[in-house]
Amino acid sequence: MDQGLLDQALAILGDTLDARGLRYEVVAIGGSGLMLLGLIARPTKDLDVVALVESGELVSAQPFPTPLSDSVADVGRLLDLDERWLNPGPTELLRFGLPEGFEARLGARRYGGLTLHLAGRFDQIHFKLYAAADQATTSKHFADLRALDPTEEELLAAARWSQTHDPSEGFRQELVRVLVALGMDDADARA
Amino acid sequence: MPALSDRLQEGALELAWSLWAELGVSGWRRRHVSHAIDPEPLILFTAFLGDTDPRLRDEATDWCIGYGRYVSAVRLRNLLSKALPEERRAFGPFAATINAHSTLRWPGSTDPRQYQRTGRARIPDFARPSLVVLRCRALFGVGARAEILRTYLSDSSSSLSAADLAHVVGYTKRNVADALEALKMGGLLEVIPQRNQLRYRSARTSELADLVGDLPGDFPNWRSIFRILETMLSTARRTEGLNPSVRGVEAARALHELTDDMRLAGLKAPPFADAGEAWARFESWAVVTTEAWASAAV
Repeated sequence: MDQGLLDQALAILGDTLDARGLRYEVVAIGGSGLMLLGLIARPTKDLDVVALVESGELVSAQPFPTPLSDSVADVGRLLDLDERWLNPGPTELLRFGLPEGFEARLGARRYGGLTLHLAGRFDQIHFKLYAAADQATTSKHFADLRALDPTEEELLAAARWSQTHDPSEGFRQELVRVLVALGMDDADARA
Repeated sequence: MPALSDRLQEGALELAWSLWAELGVSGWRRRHVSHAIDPEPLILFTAFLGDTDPRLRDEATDWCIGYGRYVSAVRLRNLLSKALPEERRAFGPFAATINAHSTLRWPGSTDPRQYQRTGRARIPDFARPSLVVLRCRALFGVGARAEILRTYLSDSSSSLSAADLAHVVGYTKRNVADALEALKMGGLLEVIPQRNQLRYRSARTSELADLVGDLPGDFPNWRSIFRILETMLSTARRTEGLNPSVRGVEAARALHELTDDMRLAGLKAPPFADAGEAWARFESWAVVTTEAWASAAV
């Protein structure tokens, strides 16, 4: 999906939910979220939902409520997209803890019956660093992270948060490798 | 131009009238003289159309009261269990009205409507080719046995398992297995073990055909055809006034839900090359399909 197609899919999903008398608020992260913010341009496969918003609280999006997953699949069929083009992918992030102040940095977009909350750039740096350390510097996550052009302070904050999710020494070594690849030569001492 | 729902409804009524005319209901041109009529799906479909044509509803009710002994309550129940919710709801008063004016005990009945019998629906016998299903029932009894035999009459080369047949005839697998065993014992069918399954085929096709008499040229899968029509009509009604994109989504959903029925009815879905044109394509496909069925062109 490019940005135009993703925007179209979200608009049609919002109108469809509205027509079906449904209302959902979802919180999205990942590459498609970055694309919607105009921070990267690469085509993506799906839009990852980390949480639903219910009564102002973030709750697990796993599994999607059936009327929502049905509507997503219906829109996918119309636009020839995967039936799970919007999916509750990385909801374990919610269980292990989102970065401090995450909710305050969300940006909302309204599409009919769908409210899409997009994670801000600072939080996306956290998620992308965590994913890049997990999947090496050749991954799309590393490329996205580089495209975000993070400062050293942002990377260090992201590194600290990432280690709360995986405190193992092996993960730390991978993290350091990614930080060095991003130009932080003294990462081993600071992360 | 009239709304899509009006155009589809008109075609659906035309089709229903033509099929009821085959069954002996007066006042309409018979177009389906060479199509085997399947009563239970037609009754459910007529109930679904309900008040859109009170005369059709009342004439069909009249026929059901007069000839309901040739209609299977068991098959109605089985078909109802897989029916759309709107169809089930609509069948309640239809069945209740028939039960109230006869000794029949049709399933799914709710409250009867006001109804005065006309007694106009009359047919001297089931000799018409299109009435082969009723003729089989008159000869072999109302039950799975008659439905199995008409299935083999429609395609004498069929080799089917009890599960295949249960799906086709609308009876439970157990009913069908019992009937198959009896027909095998009677010499009309033969059994071929295939891997871990028993498959049945006609053993005396020509004798059976001679006994049953004139056959129609086509044995349409009316259950699937009516389900497609009902879904198209429901989709058109439900989405009236919505924007074309949302109507396109609903069309895509309807077609997805109808995948099996379209295969069984030998129908191809319209291609959706462009999402913006999806609704327009669905609309013209639905109209052409309905008109073709109503005019007996397919």
